[in-house]
Amino acid sequence: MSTEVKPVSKSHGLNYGIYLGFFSLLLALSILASLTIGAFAMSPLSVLAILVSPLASLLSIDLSAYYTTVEETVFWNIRFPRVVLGILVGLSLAVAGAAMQGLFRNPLADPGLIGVSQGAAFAAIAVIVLSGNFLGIFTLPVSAFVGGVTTTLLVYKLSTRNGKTSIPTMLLAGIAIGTIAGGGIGILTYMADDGQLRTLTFWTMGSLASATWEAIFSIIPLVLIAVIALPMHARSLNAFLIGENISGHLGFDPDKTKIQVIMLSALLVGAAVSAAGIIGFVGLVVPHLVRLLAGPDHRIVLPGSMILGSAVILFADLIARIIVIPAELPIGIIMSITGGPFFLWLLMNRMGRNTF
Amino acid sequence: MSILKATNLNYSVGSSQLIKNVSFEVEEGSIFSIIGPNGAGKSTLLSLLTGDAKAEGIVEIAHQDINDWESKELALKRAVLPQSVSLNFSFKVAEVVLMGRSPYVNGLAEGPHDYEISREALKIVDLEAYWDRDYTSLSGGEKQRVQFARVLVQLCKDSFEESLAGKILFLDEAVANLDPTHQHQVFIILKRLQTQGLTVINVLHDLHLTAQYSDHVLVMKNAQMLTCDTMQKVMTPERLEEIYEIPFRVIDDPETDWPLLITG
Repeated sequence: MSTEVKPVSKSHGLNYGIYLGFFSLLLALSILASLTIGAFAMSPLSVLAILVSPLASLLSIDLSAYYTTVEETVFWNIRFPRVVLGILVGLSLAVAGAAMQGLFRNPLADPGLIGVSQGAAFAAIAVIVLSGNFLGIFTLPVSAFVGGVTTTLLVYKLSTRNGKTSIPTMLLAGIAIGTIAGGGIGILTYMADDGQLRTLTFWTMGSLASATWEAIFSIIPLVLIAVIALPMHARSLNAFLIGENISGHLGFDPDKTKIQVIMLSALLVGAAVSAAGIIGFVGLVVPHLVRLLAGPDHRIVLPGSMILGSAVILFADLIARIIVIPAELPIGIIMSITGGPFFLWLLMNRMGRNTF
Repeated sequence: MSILKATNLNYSVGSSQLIKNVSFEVEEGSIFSIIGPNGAGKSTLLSLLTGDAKAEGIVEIAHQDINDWESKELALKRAVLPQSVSLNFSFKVAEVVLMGRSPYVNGLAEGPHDYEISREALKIVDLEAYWDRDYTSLSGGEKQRVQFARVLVQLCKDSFEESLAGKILFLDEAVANLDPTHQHQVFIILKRLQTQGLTVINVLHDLHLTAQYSDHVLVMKNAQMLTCDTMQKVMTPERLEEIYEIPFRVIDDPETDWPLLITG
């Protein structure tokens, strides 16, 4: 009988709390940078003053000496909603990627890479062009969700036999489905009127530029549901990584895990795509970085991806906004030119080691 | 008393019938081996017994239809050690073993006892020093011993000395990748757990291990059950020739009473 019990030391001897703290620090930095830096620069002090002014005015403290009305307007109508949207989109795409990688038992699954984002965008665009809105502000997120679920199920069915997902089949099926959805988007482009056309361009490039409070409120309920529900599957996703059957032997319900994780990730991708269009590679890069630092346990990978995903999107959006001032690039382009090489590096690395 | 009962099992994939009309019972506390030539349906039969595949016919575990068991309840009664496990993510050895504790963990994290018993299990399989190692860096045989530790901590709730009456361990050619030392180590551990009441149902290729450690043997051939009997009755030259279609000689080892098998 051993009496001395040492808890399993997580990667590099640090525990999960430290990683979550570190990711949170990055997120705080990215928020501060996003709120202050831009074509119209603001000091951290005025940003802080504007942020707490509604609260301060409740206590009859007037902070207006610290900022101008222009700053106030820019903050509430442009900067702040954009940061909030960036956080929601980043966490959604990153944690959806992490969950899908667990489900496919394969670290190359990314909502953009396997066609899920394209499927979601296609469904949303089809609804815009063909039928208009039927659910008010929830029309886009809900139709994008339906598109996302359909694509995920399709890719999963096509690439999985007897609980084993074939990586080449998954990637190829994803490319094919993404291409088909892209073709569909092309056809819809011809049918769209001028106003719709502008929206469509935004969808396919991915951007946070149209951040509005309406868009934010339309996706918040979906994101909240998934953010609370997904981490509950952390342990069963861990068991899933050893094997679908084995997770059943260990007392989890693989079928239930599968369907719920597919639904929840599609919900997140649908939400993100409906508000910001197709932004690739976040779901691939972020969970990979978390695993690299903290190990593959979903109890750290899921929450860690949420926080780090938000930070990565905010930094990428910051670059997109300032690199060609006074114009701005779509964030999708920034993610593609940084995430693409990362993906290639992963592939090369994998050929050598075969593990993640 | 039987702990597992299979009645009229049939199973097909597409047009090929992999299991034809198989019925048998497994006595509680016995070591029960399934043998037979390649492609005879041994592993398929085992997957029907573990519930991984759904058969026509009835599989009863502790007198209850396997389909009526809650996954979580069943996990407290039986563990399964597959032939090999493919894991592409760099879990620590400790984390893999700890997953065996899943049926006992309520909430998010394992408790101190889960760590303690997992560490002991690694000691039992001679891998105590591997606690912090990357699982994916191990050799095939070492990985399999880690998996064996994982099923041990699933079967044994509080200690490795407790009663295991009513519990079943399924093994699917689980020692095929191990060196002779560790093959026997696994079976010596199984023999010890048998004295605590454990039932072991395993698919085996190695006839010497079968002869040495089994109480009962079920023989599969061409998707059918050829026989299901005590080890001594199956390990006869006539039976073995019928199964494998090559000549066998069987000699009783004067020291142990185990049959020694010589082919050709």
